[in-house]
Amino acid sequence: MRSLICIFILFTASHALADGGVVVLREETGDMIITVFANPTPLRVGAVDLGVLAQDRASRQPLPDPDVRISLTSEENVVPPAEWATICNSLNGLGTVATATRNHSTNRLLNSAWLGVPAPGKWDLEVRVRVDGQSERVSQTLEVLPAAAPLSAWWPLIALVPIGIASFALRGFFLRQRRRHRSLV
Amino acid sequence: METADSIFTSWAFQPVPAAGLFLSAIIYVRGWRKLHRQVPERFPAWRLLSFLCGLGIVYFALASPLDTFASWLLIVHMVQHLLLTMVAPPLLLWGAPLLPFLRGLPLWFARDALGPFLSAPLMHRLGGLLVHPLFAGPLFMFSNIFWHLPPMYELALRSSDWHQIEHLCFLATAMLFWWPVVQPWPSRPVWPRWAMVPYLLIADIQNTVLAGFLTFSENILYPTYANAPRISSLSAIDDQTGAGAVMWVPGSIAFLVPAGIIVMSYLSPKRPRPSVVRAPLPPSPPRRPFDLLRTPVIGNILRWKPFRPLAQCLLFGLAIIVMADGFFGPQVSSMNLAGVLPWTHWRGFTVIALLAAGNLFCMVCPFTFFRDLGRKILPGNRRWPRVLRSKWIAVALLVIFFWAYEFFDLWDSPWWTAWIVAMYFIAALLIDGFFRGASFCKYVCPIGQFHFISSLASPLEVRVREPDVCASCRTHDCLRGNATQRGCELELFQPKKSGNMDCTFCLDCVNACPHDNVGILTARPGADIIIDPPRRSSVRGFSHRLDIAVLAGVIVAGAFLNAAAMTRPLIVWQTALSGITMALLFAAILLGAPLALSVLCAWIAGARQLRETACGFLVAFTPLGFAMWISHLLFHLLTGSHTPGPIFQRAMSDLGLGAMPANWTVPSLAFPALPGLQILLLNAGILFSLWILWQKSKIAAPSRTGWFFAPWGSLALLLYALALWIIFQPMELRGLRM
Repeated sequence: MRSLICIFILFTASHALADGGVVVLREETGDMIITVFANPTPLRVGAVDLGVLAQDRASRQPLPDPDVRISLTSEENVVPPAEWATICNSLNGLGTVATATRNHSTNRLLNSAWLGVPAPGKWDLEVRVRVDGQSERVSQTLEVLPAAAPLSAWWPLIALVPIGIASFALRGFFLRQRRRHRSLV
Repeated sequence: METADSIFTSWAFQPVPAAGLFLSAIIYVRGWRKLHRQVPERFPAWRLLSFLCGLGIVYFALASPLDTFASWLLIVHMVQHLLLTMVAPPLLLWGAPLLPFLRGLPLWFARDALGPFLSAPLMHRLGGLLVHPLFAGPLFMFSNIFWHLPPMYELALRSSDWHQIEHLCFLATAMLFWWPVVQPWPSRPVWPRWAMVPYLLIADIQNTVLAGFLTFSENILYPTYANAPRISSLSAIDDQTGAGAVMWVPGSIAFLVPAGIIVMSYLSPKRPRPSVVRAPLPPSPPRRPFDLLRTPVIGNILRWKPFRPLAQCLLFGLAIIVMADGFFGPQVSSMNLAGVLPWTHWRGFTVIALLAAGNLFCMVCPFTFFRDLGRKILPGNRRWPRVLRSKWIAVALLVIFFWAYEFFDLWDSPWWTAWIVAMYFIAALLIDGFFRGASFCKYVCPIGQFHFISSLASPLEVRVREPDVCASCRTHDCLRGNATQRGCELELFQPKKSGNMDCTFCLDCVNACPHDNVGILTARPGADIIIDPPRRSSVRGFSHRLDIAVLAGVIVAGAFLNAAAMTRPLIVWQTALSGITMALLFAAILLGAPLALSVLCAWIAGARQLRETACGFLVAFTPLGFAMWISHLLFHLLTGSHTPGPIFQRAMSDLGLGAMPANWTVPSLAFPALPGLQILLLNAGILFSLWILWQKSKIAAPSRTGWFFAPWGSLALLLYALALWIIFQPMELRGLRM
């Protein structure tokens, strides 16, 4: 039984956030290869982490200090519904245009930024990369799904309450069992 | 070179694993130190080193560039998995973490919370099954194969949640697998030692087959790596071959080396073990609760007498600046210190202090600093009228404040905010300038009452260290004071004081006690509310204090109302109401609803003394109310974290002292997972409240605890559901320049 304690404590320790995201766009243009990563995928209304890797086409080396600008434009030009947008996402002042920087991301090869997608539908993603006066632009249409309902997004944390209650009930059961056993002895 | 720099600096700060591993390390080190003193031969230093290295390797695997580039290069991902399955688990188990963990946990937690589980035969059998070689070995191999199937591997690469579950499976099954091999003390082997040789060899065969498949496959098994950017000449297929080799060679070494060591130990001639003459175990030092005043740095600062007046003076100066800006600055809350500092930052920091320690704001209260200055000229010799010696004035002021806050949008009016601060100074000066003691704090101050009630859930309390010392004390300096130090102005007699109610953490009692017998000690969670001693000094039992019960109800209901009033549905609803209707509604929700619901619950539960039971149980909702306050105020604090910067710039510029124009584009400390943190706080609040309610039900109705608890438990769960609904609503960001 004691082994369970260690394992339980280590379980909490192994909960880590993955970094990076999934490639949503990759294009060789001019002297560059531009790869765009998105997290989460599929994209949903709310905060979206977009990362850009700009590489030299010949050597495949990441370009030093590129100036990267990311924008999202709604094809349908809709007014965003605020329902089900989580608090931070809806009101944190995230825009649909951002300058992507290396300081923002864990992966220091990527230039990335948080963007706020206010409504579902088709959105045009445009990435402009400028290095040493040379500028390249890539774009792609992305499908953005409605934000996940809060309960479906946060249920693992909410489930801790019934788990806590069940553990307490189990503890009570074991205590009663122990008392009964002692009284029999 | 720049690329290499970028790669090696791609570390992620992973708060959850960092906190989990740090907590594990603290618990282990605490326990190891005690055991090392008692049985040094069982717990030598290398065990500590091994365990800490294991934790370090887990963190390295999860937060280093290995994790960052795991989705770009399969080799890197494979190294990460090897660390989690082959390196970290044996190191952790060599630390023999069972007893250190148990000894490192607080005694009450290990005994009362874990004890029943540890001693249950069912859990013994379950634990035994999990680490049995016939179960742990196949489980480890199954997990290894299952997560390397292309659909599962791709799932983990595409979803961070599944990636976490994958790592969790690897680490957990590896811990179980290595258990019978390492056999951490004091667990006992179920198989003879030699049986571990075939156990390890079978695992190695599985590993070799899987590695061979990866190495020799001519197709790319995981499409993510085919699409991943290539930053070197290594092609995707070469990467896969390399990953297979990593799994094959170091993986096999990890299985074969321990198998070889076991074989060698059987082949080597057995040496007789030297008989160890055991000296009697040294007695354990007496367990003392944590005492903040005895900590090296913070304790010295707190005990330094000028600390409190200096901190108060600092806050007094800040309050003057806030008032000046509120009166004379721009009347836009997001550009004015009075619109931001009191409502966003001060409230946020005080609830954090309440959660982390206790009522620290009252300790450094600027209003009492001003009052103390005024007392030098004002008489302060009258007794506070007997009829007013209750919390009713504070209750009325709180209800008026909650209503005015919404109806007059106080948060949006720097001028009104400045007036409120000014009125506070005047009230504190006049009341305590003419009346003895701290009548303002005890009977009038709504902020103080908020802190008194909220600090019932705080982890620390001002308390006597050794009750026996007080038993022989005849001077009672903590209450009466002496020639050099005043006693408790809130009339709390330390030996009979219980909990934090009415305690301002002023530390007058600490300084007055001639025996140095008062400290800031850890409070047993909820004990004050559960036991509810009827002879509690200057307060009496909560169940006999209707005013305190109503006050607690107002603060709990206020938490929900204050947060809900910022959500879109309620803002729409509020605009349709007139001032009087809203005032009546607020009074009904804050004053009437909590008490009425508590009486209803007491009636359903079949309580004999309705009033006493309702009052006593209402206070048990304090942790849930406090959780709502902190999750709400923390949200504002984080979203508006950097707003004072440009406002100070603007204020300096207005005064002609700053050359830099204010930059209103400020970052925020808010993060997308903030609702998760809010939910965790609410979880802690509801579980704490439910636990207190259960314990109180056990005392009130030992023979039918479940039935007695049911109505209150249901009410608490309903409030929790309401809290979740509130935090999921789009919320108006007050005091922020959007």
